[in-house]
Amino acid sequence: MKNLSVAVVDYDCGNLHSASKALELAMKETNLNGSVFLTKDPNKIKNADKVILPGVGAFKACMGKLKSFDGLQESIEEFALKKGNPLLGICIGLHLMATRSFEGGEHPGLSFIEGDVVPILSNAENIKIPHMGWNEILLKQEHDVLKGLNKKDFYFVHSYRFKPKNNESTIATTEYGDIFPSALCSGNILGTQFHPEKSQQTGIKLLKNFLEWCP
Amino acid sequence: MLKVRIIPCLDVKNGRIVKGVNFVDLVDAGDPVEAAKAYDAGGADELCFLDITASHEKRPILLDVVKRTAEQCFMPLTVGGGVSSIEDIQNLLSSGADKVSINTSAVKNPTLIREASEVFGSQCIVVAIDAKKTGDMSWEIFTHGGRESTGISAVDFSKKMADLGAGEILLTSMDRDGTRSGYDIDLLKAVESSIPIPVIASGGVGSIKDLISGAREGRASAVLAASIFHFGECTIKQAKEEMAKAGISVRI
Repeated sequence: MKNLSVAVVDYDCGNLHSASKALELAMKETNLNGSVFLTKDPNKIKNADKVILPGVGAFKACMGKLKSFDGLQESIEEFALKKGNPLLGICIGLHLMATRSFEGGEHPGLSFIEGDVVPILSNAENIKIPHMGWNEILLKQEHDVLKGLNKKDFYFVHSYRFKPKNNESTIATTEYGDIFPSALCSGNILGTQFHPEKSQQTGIKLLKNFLEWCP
Repeated sequence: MLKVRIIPCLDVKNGRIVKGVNFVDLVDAGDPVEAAKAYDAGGADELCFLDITASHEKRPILLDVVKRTAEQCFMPLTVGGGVSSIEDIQNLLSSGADKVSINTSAVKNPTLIREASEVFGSQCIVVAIDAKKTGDMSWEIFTHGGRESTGISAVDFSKKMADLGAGEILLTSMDRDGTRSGYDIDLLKAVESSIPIPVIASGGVGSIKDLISGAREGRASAVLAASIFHFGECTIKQAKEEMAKAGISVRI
């Protein structure tokens, strides 16, 4: 069997080691052989089998970082749009894939999944922002990556959320203040608002599904 | 539904876990790396790692211990102790922390909180407040691991920190810390009702009942404890089961 190469995009935004560490554990728990590596090398990203765009931070700062490395954004575009290989965006990684974000002004995104990044509704009574902690996801569609994960708790930490243009891209929702999309998918491109790499066994299960996913 | 988080706290000195009684007379309670592993397996919702003497000793936090602890965590890890600059925060995040807790420097240099939340996002900036009761319904904050008084009101300071972009307040009652007599519920309520960001209850847990009242009466988003977990008096699982029985939404 071919060795699976899994690239975690290293663009200096927050805790990227936890994503690669969790993917390594997930890899061990599958029957797949392969390697997980943190990289900002455009060639390695283009030629990987799977790419993860993680990240923690504010939209503007993270997009600025991503653009600050020569060829990095283009390599992700080539990987996901031209080659159609499986890309997973986590939290701010998902937000970066939107058309626009309204976090701290209006900023253009990568436009991989059509939609905007908007604030979590905070007018509901007793709603604390950020939405921080463990909350459950409700599957809206069957999806290989969410197999066996309906109604499971994942770790969330965010003040903004994805508002897709097409509801068909929502594959799971979560309730906090209102009901918002917590996992989205457009073909080979997948994003989660929650952090699978911080969600213990439930998160490892999702990452295993992602490693085995053939869109 | 969002669950109430149960957070074991590792108070670390010289790379070892200690648990203070009113912040003095420290007792060794073990290796943070081993503890992190056990709490991850035990279903803790988050882990807190505080280098309690870093500010007092005017030295940076022990990044190597943080790194080794983070290696064992597949849950969020908050790290604090002696954090006084953007560079300190960057170093901790690079060592595996998900959130950084800031205490002394939030008081000395409040603009750090604004700057940090702009650079890293509010969600990873936790302001740790050590508060002591000074009147019927008033509390004052202390810095340097509870060693220096400031004359600043805990409620006013919490509001200011939320305005500056803090993502969460870790609220410790100095009067209760290490006493096992339960959280200071009035303090929790006073702070929780005046800010829009989550509050972590800390200081004084002696039994699972205290965790329940922190969540229910104190309306805390998360409940933190050290001794009852470290010394094996109860497991995370037992705490969650009793909390669930009491009608609190927890992750089982």
